[in-house]
Amino acid sequence: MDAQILQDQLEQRIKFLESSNSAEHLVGDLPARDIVACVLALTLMTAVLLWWAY
Amino acid sequence: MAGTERLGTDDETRGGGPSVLPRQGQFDATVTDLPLMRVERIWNFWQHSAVNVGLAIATWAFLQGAAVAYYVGVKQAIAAMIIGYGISVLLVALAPCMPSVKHGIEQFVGIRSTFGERGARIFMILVSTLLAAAWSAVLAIMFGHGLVTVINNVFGVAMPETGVAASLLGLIAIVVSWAILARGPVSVEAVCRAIAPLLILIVVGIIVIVFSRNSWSELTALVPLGGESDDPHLNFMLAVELNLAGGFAWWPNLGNLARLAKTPRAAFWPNWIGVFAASVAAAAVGVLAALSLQVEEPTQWMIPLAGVVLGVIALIVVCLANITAILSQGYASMVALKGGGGALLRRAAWPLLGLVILGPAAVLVFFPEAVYENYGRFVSWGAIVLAPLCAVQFVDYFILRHRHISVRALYQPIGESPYTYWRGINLAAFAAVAAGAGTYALLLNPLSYEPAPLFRYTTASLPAFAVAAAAHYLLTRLVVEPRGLGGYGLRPVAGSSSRMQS
Repeated sequence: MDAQILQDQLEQRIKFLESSNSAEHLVGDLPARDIVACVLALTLMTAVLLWWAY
Repeated sequence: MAGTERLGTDDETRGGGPSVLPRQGQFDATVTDLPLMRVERIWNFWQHSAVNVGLAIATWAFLQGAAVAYYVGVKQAIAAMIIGYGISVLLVALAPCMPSVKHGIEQFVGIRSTFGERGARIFMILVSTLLAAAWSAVLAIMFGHGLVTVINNVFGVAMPETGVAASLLGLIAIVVSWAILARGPVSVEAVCRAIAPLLILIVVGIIVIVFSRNSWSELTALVPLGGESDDPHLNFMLAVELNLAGGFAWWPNLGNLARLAKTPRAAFWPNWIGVFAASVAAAAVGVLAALSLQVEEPTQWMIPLAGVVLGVIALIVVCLANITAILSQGYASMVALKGGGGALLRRAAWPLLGLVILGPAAVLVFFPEAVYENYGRFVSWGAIVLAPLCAVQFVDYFILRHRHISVRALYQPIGESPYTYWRGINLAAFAAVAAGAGTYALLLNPLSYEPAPLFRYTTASLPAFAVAAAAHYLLTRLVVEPRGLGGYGLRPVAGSSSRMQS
């Protein structure tokens, strides 16, 4: 692929991402509650499995 | 500009900036290392899940199950798999995936913020290409073994499974994978979507057959393939470690797949459906099959379990599943090469990149003892690097940078970019990875697979992760930041999520 096309594309994309409406081009962060739910579920599951398998 | 089209003025476009984003079909940014805009993401939750399941339920999951069955029986195997995979999949679903989906960045471009541009390239070549080639060879060898079994049963011949015929069939798997990969990620998704439901059917079928022939109490009474152990707790910890390592082995693949997802949840949760739940289910099936038949080789399970006709059909589907797995990880590695492989590979055509990844695998299929016949150690070799690497990336992105990366800085040349560090390499991050890798090697000898006394309480991957994480945090705070390196003081400008300032 032409290096100049890639460079132009890159510049345009960075401008979009740095624009005042950049949130429309970015995907947001994963909500913290999703991570907390995972950690809690994993902790609970580990405890139950250790009890069950031993 | 060739391949692009001006769509509107600043006011007309949603982004508020000058719009030259291409229309679909004119410029495919998914096959470059450019940051993807939100509108260019192609996978929703279910599409990403289908790819993830296709990636997870390959014969490597059966290999994993057989390796675990060597150490422990059914109950402890299931516990070890859920605990081991659960912890490592959580970490790899966060560290490489979240920066990639948020900014649309290729994952090895993303780690330039952590390791510097040259540092990221070193890891890209080490981790992405070498491991991808080795895994592709493992899958292709399994494909060869499976197809030899099919040919033997269908045509009544007796070709040896480990002979040249199996290697040649493995080579065919590599060539077919390359031909599909040359068409880009859309074809990857289409193939995976077709195979995933058939694989689920096979996994369910094996479960039904095993349970129809054995009661639960009979299954739980089966001894491990390695025989009864004097130290069952140590064997359990080795089984957990195998699964931790198996989970960390997904690190090179998941970020670039998450990059194509439309939302952070569509990037995160499919990993739990695919590389966690589907992997554990398939590996558990592997454990059940291996223990009930007392056979470690997965391609030898199907016909004794299901009879010749159904067994051959199942083997063919499993062989095809190996192809989908080669495709999925091949795509991720090719995008990585495109982004981090330097000017030469950046200009290379997509089919040529496929050759760079799959070419070494085409050679490795003729040396099965190098990877396939040492599966446990092979997975462990990956985890020595991948667990600390994941730790350093996790601490850097989530704790030190508070989930903010300057996309512009990722692409600026060495010297201009705040992510320059020391001539393009963050020595502190490398030292942290080395500390983690050293910790791993002290706890579990990667050559002999002999564990240290402490291993029975800690595993090897988790201390390696913890040491690397702590080392990176301390070195960054004490050495890197005081020198003004790494752009750790940069924060987003008000009103922009990506533009950064001190």
